[in-house]
Amino acid sequence: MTYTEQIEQYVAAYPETAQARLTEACGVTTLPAFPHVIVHVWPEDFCELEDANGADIARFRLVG
Amino acid sequence: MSLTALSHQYVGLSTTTAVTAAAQLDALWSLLTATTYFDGSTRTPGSGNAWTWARYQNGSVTEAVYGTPPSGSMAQRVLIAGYASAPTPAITMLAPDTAQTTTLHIGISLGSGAFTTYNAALPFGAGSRWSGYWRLSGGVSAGITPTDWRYYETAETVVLVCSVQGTNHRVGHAGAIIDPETVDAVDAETDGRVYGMYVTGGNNNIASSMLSSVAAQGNWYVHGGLAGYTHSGMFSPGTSTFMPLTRPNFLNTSIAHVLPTSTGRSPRWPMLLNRSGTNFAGRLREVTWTPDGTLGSGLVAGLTTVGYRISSSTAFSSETVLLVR
Repeated sequence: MTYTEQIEQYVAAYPETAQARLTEACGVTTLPAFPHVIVHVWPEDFCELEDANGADIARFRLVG
Repeated sequence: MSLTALSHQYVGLSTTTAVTAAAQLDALWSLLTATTYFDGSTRTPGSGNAWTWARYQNGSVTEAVYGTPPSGSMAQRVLIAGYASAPTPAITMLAPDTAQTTTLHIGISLGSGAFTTYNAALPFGAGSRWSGYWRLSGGVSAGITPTDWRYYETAETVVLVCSVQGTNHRVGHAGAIIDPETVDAVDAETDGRVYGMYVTGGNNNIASSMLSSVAAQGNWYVHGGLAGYTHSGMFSPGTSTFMPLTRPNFLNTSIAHVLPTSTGRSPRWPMLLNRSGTNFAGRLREVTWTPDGTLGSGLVAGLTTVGYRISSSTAFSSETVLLVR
């Protein structure tokens, strides 16, 4: 699976996602299936999803 | 040249009827800290094959256990965590699994420092290499009650078997699981090993066709792309990147089992794995293909146990891997 597909699976699993902080190394800057989700790129090596209040919903590392 | 052979030892079985992650962890804890092996021999944490385990309790409620192998130069740790209500921040999962309340989750760390918290981005501190968690067991909240845990260990790896309602079995295998049979830096860590893990997954039981099938649910060393499926992976040597592992299927449909010798002996075929579907990863260390058998039974030669079988059932024979003693 591509990195985008892995990330979008998580967003689908957490529909309250408003923002996604994505690890810079994965190179993903947009989530085509979820255009309403604001994407931030950060230097951490894991990704994080946040709700509209900025609360942490999920953290995950990518495989590949 | 191959690495030193590992030797699996069976610690025993522990049962819980309580439907909480804490109860599961406590059942595991009794095995992880046992002072004898199933065969009655002494188990001394930190020596031989015996891992040293510690646990984290929130008040008096167990939420994580983590193990340190008795040997090795990579500061390896295996961490197992579960909880009744999700912590903040959320635990860091490994794609594609999502966290589940009351499910146990398993991950592996290299270059580990002191344990911080199980829900830290790096549970073993800055500079460590953390896999993230995959699901080790099924969700109690889904009405599935883990009842039995079995624990096997070598000096560098651990095997955990969760038997759900006594009949359905899920396996976790973690540690220095692969001998890459090369010391090339892109293929092996500096100690010549490859570290990784396998989980049958939260949704699946070990399948009776776990070797003749490489479908992504319930089979041995396959990797599925959905949460709860079976997963297999390894650290890309020298990095924190985790790569999927896959198992080439050497069994065809007309001979869907490993056959015994004409005198009834059990061959032990080396099990080879690929990484990312594009490169050879190595040989699974002292885990082999073997003729059909039942889960939990030992393979004996005369009076000596030479291995322990992992398969889909304790009641009937099915495709089996052997944890070589």
